[in-house]
Amino acid sequence: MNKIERACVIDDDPICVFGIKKILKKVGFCNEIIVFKNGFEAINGLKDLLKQNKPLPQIIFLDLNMPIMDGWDFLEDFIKIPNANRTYVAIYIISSSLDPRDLEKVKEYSSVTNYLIKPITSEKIDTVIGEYLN
Amino acid sequence: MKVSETFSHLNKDEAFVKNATSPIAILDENLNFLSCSKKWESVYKTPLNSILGENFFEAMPNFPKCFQEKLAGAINGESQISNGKSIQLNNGQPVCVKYNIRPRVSNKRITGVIAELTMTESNNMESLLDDAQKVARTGAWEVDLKTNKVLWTKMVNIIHEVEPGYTPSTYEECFEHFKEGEYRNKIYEAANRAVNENIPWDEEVIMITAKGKEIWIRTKGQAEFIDGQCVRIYGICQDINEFKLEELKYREAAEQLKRAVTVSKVATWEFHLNDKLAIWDDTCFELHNIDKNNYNGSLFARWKKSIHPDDVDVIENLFTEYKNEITSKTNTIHYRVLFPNNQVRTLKATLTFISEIDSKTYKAVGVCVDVTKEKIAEKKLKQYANITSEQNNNLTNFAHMVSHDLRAHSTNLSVLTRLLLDEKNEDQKTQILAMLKSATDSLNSTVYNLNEVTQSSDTTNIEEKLSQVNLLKVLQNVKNNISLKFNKKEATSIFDVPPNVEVTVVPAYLDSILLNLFSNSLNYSAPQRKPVITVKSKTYGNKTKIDFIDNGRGIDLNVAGKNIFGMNKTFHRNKDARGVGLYITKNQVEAMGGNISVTSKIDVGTTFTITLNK
Repeated sequence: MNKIERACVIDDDPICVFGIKKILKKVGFCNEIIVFKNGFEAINGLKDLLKQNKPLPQIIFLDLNMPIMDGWDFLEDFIKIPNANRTYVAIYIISSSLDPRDLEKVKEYSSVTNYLIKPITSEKIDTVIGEYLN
Repeated sequence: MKVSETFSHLNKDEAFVKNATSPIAILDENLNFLSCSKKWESVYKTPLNSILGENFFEAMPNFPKCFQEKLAGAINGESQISNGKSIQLNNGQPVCVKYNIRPRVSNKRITGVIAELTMTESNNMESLLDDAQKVARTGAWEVDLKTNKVLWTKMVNIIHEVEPGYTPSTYEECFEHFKEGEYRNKIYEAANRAVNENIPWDEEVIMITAKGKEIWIRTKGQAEFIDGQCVRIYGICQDINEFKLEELKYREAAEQLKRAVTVSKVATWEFHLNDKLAIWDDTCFELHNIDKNNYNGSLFARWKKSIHPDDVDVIENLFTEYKNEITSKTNTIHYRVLFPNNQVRTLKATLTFISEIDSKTYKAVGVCVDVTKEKIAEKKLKQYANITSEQNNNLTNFAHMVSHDLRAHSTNLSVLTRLLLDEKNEDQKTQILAMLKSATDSLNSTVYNLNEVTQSSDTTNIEEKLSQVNLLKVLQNVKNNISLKFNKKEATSIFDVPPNVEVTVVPAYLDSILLNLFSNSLNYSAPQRKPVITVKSKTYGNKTKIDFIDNGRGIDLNVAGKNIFGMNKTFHRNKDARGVGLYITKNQVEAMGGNISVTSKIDVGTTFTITLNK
């Protein structure tokens, strides 16, 4: 299996982050996991990576409901980051929202690869790996 | 030829023909003239001596050949009689010929014909009269009072739907066809008046035909007097049924319209744009509250004065637009009319412009009605619709928030328990257990919040829960309840509230509102300075305004402004769920009949202003 170098989790819920990290480690998803508590921290963190000439994470798991800067605002700002490799970043929304308005809204963002409904299980992560390898 | 010879071949009787009062000719079997009456000579301008022995058609060149048949018929023994037959003379003139052509018999042998031919200037007048009667469905009648003999023209019989030969045989029978009661009595009396007082009549009444059909007829009659004695009455009878029914229908419709217009208070008016002449009906004066008999200046000027100043321009613009051919011919406008005691009524006017291009005159005609009630109802309806739509929106948001927040917790609980089951490491297990506890606490607080939201939205029986409380006392109470947090943050408070200020509230709501505002101010205090919370109150009439001012971090209202009191943003995992908290606060304030607003400046502070009833 082509192991992913770096994955990123953006979520303000520590329990949720704890759970995802456990699962990602269990399936040996990637070498490095970076975590941000909200969209604002994430944008700054990703910009820092670029400054240090490090590549962006190949996969981002993004929560929607977060304080300071939520998932939607992150998506708006993310596409403004000047980096050609950005288009190779797969963004997965992770949310407990079943609101059809959210599902509809996601379609407006071409940078989003898919929408995962919490809880995040190892089966769902397997699907993500399958999609990524394709 | 001698005259005596001339008549020698005639019968003795035939000699008398000479002096007959009608035009008579005597012809032999070859249709040659044997003789004619003097009348014939004068009528046909044919002196006897010039036609004697001449053939009929040669002597009378204008008679068409079709007469040959008649004459021949008589020679064959068949009398030919007509009371009037239209023929065309050979010179093209149409005439009516009345003839009586009989065989001339002597010694039991037909020896020629005796023809009586009266020519009138065609019977066109008569047939015209006949046709006219048919078209007008009008017949003539006459009662000879001396003999009680009744004469009807054909049309009278047709109208009465009786046999062609029928006429009433007595004076009384003349009235039997009129509908019994009102109509029959009316005509009977009219006829009596005509006979006794020589007063003619002209009435529209219902009669019943022989076939039992009720129809409207017009009957006219008058009497003829000779030597002060009424000798006959005569007149006409006209079938006016269709016309009358239409008229009655129209009258009923017109009456209905009039009633409707009167009841519905629809005003009608006319306005001449050129000379500003206004023509109004009484209702129009009433709707504009103008005394019809007592106003100064022109009606147009007075009308403008009665209208709400904001609406005058709208109407004048419409007139201008019409003159400039911008607007259509028919328009509906609403305008307000000022009534005493600051009352305002809304009128709806529907108008049509009429222009006579040649004379360059423009006028507007139309109707107007008072739609004040409808306007008020419409406004209320819009308000309700807004409230409903807002509440509906809130409900949808609430449902999704509940779903989202509860799911967030249940998801975490299930993830944590699964991890706990899989985990072998004791340290890790302890960590997971701690998280499990925090997750259940969050779930608890979420459920608590949701309950608060539900209760604050419920305004039923709110009146029963309202009571007067002292504002300052409540403030101090709430502050005491969170004194721990106050001390921890080293916060100070200034209550600029007179000790006698009372507000009408649901006590639990006011506690909850103030607690929420205090908590917010303390939680979102500016890091570099100690929190200072100032509460001021001011009373206006029966309202009390409370300003709740802090020196905290402030809120960027450009970002959060619209949703600050809404449920759209939920910060479910923040212990002091600000989004839900302010939503509850707003609901509680409004449930008590008050309102709440906010101003804020980043890094300076936030002020919430609450208005409550005294």
